[in-house]
Amino acid sequence: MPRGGRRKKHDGLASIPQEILHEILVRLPAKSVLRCRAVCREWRRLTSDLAFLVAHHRHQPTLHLISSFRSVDRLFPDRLDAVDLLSGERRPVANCMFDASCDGLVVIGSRIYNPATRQWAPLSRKVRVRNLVGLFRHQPSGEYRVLFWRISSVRSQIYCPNEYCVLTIGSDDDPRPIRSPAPVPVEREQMNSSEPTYVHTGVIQGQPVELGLINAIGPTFIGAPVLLHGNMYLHWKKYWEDRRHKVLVFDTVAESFWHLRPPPVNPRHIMQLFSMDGNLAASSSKDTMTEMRIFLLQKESDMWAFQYRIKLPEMEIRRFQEQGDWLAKVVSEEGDLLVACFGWLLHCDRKGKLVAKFRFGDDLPVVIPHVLKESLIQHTFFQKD
Amino acid sequence: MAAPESGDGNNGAARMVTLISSDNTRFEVEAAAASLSQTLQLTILDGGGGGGDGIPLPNVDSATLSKVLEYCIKHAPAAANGGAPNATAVDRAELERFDNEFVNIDQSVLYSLIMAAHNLEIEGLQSLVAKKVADMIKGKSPMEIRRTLGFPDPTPEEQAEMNAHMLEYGWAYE
Repeated sequence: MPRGGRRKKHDGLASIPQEILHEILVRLPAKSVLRCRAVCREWRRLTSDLAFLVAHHRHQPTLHLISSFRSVDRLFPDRLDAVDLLSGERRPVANCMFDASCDGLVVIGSRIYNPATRQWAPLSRKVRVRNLVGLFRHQPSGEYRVLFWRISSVRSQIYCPNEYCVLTIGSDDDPRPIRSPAPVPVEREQMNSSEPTYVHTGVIQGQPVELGLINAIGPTFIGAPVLLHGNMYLHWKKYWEDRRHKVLVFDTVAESFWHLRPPPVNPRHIMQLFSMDGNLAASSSKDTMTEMRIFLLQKESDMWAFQYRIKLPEMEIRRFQEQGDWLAKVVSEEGDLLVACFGWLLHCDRKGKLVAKFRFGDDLPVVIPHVLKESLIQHTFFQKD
Repeated sequence: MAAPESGDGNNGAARMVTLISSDNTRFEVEAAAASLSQTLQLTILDGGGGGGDGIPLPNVDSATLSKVLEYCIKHAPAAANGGAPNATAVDRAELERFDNEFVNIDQSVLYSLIMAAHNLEIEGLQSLVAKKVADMIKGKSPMEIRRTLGFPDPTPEEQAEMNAHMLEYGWAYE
């Protein structure tokens, strides 16, 4: 109403056309956008619009999450910092661990949380979700769902098997059991036979299943799942005996599992999965972490190809580090590395050159596998009461 | 990359175009620099702006246009390399330094620059100025934002709405 009248003499930034204002405000962190909603009605309307919120989420930097112990006498890390590698900014985000993360939403225990809006909701009002595998967006429906495993109620010859389930967040439906992962075929050359051979196999309801994934102890999933093109890539090992790295893929649309041949990484070396240029990638390094090899999954053939080698600036790391070991991790699509050592977190580029460093006092920073990309998009599951 | 229909025919010499500001000042620049503007690119590809013709820009005054062209001339070589994947870190650092210096300007100039970058559709400049204004807003309270950007004082009604919002999202002001 009278606003336009009062402002017409202005030729300053306050009278920027809305289209341009949109371009400016999508570049702000979530907290600043919330403050902008108090500036005036026009700004409040613009920054509450869904198209704005989607563009805002897309513009947000990927924040890497670093856990540390605020005080030395604590047994568990009790502080989570977010680090933006582009701006070099660092700020606290939470006082607890995240169990999963996707599109600005995180799972903490049995609840879903948006750190940007500080909204909470239970994952389910009916069942208690334990043994979470991952959080994802089901593309066809836009629903957010979790994959988890629990003790199966199906009668079987196997002692106490587990089953995998999918649960839609905010729905009152029961979790949907997913057919258990099939056995990993053992490579022919190893078994000296023309027939595919399986080991550690059980049978449930007439279907062969991979025991390592469904037995009572449950599998060990390493790191966070990598979400790419509707697939969830899971790096797992068995609790007992063989220590081979394995990659299990969950197709979030078809809701089925398949095994991907793992990259040629020595079982005793550390392997980490991540995404690079829209492809699945894996890094491998020895315990001492002085160098790292990067493999990329080829889209057409599903074969792994060696990409490049990174030499870590060992002397430089030693200069900062006060005691103990260090752990390096590829954290960005561009191949940037974060190196955690006692008292410091170091940021290196893909060639291993030191770019920036963050002080962590008398503390051991740990790069947790989940990342956060802030989002102010509203979700119905937060609104239910 | 050089336009084959270039009128001047001198091989080696870059093709030049003339731009005319709203206050009738003529600027002669390399076609490659002016082509950073999506708006001008088509006209230039069609052979416009050469010779005595010149392209009139009725929305951009000469002070702003000279500033815009300063940006285009600096960024044209990197843009010609297709975002310069082979640029050295030194080149990139130099451009970054130039950009930071470039937007370190008075608000009224910044405003004219935003409007010109938008009208001429110069992508890099658009995001540079948007980032600059975003940095001016970041971390400020609503009242400080209003003052920084030159809003008039809020009416009592606006003030009440502002307070209500600040109360509801108190944690966003910590």
